[in-house]
Amino acid sequence: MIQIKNLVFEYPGKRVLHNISFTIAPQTICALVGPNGAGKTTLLRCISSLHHPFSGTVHVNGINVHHQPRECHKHIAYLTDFFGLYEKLTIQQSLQYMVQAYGIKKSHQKEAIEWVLHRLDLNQHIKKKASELSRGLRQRLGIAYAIIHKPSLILLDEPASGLDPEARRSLSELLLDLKNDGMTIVVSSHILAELEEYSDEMLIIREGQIIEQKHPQQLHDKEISITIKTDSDPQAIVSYIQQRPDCHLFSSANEEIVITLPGNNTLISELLNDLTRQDFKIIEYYKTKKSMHDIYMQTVNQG
Amino acid sequence: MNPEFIRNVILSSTPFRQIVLPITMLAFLYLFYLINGQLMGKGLAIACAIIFLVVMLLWGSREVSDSLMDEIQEKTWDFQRMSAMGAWSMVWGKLLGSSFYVLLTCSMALVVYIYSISDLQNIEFILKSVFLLITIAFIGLAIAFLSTLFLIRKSSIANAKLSNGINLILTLYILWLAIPFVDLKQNQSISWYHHQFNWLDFNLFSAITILAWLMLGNYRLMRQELQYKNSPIIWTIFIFFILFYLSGFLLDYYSIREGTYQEYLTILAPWLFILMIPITWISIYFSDNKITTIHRYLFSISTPRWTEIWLYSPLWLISFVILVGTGTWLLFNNNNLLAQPFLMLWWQTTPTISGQFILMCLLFILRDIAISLYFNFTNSFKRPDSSAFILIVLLYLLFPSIVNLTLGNDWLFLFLPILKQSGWSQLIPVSLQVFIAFALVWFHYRSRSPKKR
Repeated sequence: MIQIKNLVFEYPGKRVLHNISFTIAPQTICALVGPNGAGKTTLLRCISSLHHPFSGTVHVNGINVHHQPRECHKHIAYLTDFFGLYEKLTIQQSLQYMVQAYGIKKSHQKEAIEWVLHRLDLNQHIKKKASELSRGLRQRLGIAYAIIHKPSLILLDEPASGLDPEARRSLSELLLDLKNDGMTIVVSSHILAELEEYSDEMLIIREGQIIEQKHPQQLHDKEISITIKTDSDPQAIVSYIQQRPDCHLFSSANEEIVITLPGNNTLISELLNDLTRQDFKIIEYYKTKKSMHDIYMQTVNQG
Repeated sequence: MNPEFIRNVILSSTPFRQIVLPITMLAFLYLFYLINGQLMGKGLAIACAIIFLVVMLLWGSREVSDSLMDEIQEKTWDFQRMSAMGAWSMVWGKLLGSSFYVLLTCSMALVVYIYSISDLQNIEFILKSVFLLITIAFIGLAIAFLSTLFLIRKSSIANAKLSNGINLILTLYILWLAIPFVDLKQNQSISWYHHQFNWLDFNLFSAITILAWLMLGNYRLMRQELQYKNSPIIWTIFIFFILFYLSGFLLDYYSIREGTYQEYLTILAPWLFILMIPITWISIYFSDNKITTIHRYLFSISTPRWTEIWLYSPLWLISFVILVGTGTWLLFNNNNLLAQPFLMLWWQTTPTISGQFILMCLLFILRDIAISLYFNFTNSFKRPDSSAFILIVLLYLLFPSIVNLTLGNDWLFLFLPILKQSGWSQLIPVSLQVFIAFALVWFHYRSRSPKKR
């Protein structure tokens, strides 16, 4: 869906993207994470062809976005972090404008408006002007403007900022629905806990460089940490764990031993069975999945 | 129908515009009718033409400029840039949509204009004069649109006050230029390339041509907003068009009717050189002189990628090359044909263009290019082009005036290209200025060019 090769972007006196290359597969939700000033917004604006890079190429659906900006806009939606709405127009009027602006055929315009009103649950507000809407509804209308032409790629820059928990929840559901409709979504956000609800890929960007790309498999089959409490000699268990190739000793202190192993339930039960067979007394165990925040912090610290 | 046109019409359809303004316009027209002794005729026609131009230019240009500025201020510009609308649709949709009610209101003045001269003139003349008025009004609107787009391109922010200020100055200037056209000169003629043209026909042709160039300029700037790359070909053609258009008057002025190609060129070359100086100077401000753009340009040269070199060539470079071309031709074809009455009246000094003068002009232009680049390359100026413009104006006006009053005009060569010849040593100060300016540009370019990792 997205292919980026050696992308370089400069602001006066500062290079903000350094030879970035990555690909994103279709129908995934990719979280673009990184600290402030890492280059997230610039990267999104380059992908959407709103910024022209110094060098490098961006292809979306096989189209070079900087050679054919108008052609690629038929496939891309981009919602900036500080977007505006047509305040003096009603939702109905502004959506009517958007379908025409996106060049949707007249015979399909009504259908497109109905689809987006239904998808974003804006039906009961169509007579309201944008200036009369709440923050959550404004966010929905902004997304409606962006996706009314049913793009195959949606770029969202900090879409959840300023939303209340309920609106955030509904945004997560919406993004999953859009993914199920076949769309690819790139979301830039600081709120990693929320991204975890819907992302199946993570791009970590720092100082203008992609330092890690976690693919769906890596995110879903994350390493699991098991904490074991034992009455037996902890050192003996540690020695046993260290001999096993399928798991890794993370830490041990007193009677508590933390083991990491791939997120696979069969492996966990095998390990526990083996431990009991070796006559180790396990009095308690619990497992914890690494969160996206853990993965992010681990990658950033390693970087 | 163009969605941008419809949206702008909807936005401007307030009760004030729909009801109050037409009534006010009607009241004004009735007042002029009363002042004219309740008579139709030329007096009322001229009053209607003036009110049409004043309202169209003052109010219309504001509406047109706002149609762009509002997008930036209300942060909806990115939605438009991401839409499927083409550059041309965006330009005419905004231009006509935002000025729709202004045009409707002003059309009342045109109706009275037509009615008041219907007994005096034939239908062809009336239609042409109405068309000329409308074209002049749209020239004003197109200039307002162009200057606003240009401001957006230069600053990337919405500065409505600056935009309105610039547009007001431009509008008043256009109004000042346009007022003579409301006087109906049916039997006068204009000579161009030795052909006599009817006054109205020629001005209509000129106005339509200017409007076409302005709309092309708007289209090209809008294309840039939509991330298309513009090659400098249109600017190059525009320069040659300007030179061609003005040459028509010059040949007539020198009364050369059947000259050879060489004679034509000998007459025109000094003028073309003189004309190219302001064109090159203006092109410095039309170019994108940001350090990133120049860096990208130099990068494409170092690679080298010829298409990109052409695409990213700054407009001032194209203009400067043409200026150098005309200057070189003059240097190697020294002639005294400029010793004509017009020039003598103008400068009242040595009327010939010397090689020294040509080189001085080239060096001063180079210095100005370097000043503009320097202001754009440092990060100390919020509006680098305005700051560079002020400095250059000071260098050409304030300092020479002080020098003239204190040391006399023998020292003016420090700040101005002068015709008076007193040795090649006069080139040393301006050469030093060019050297220092470019050294500063190079230093800032080196220090602010991002380093690779």
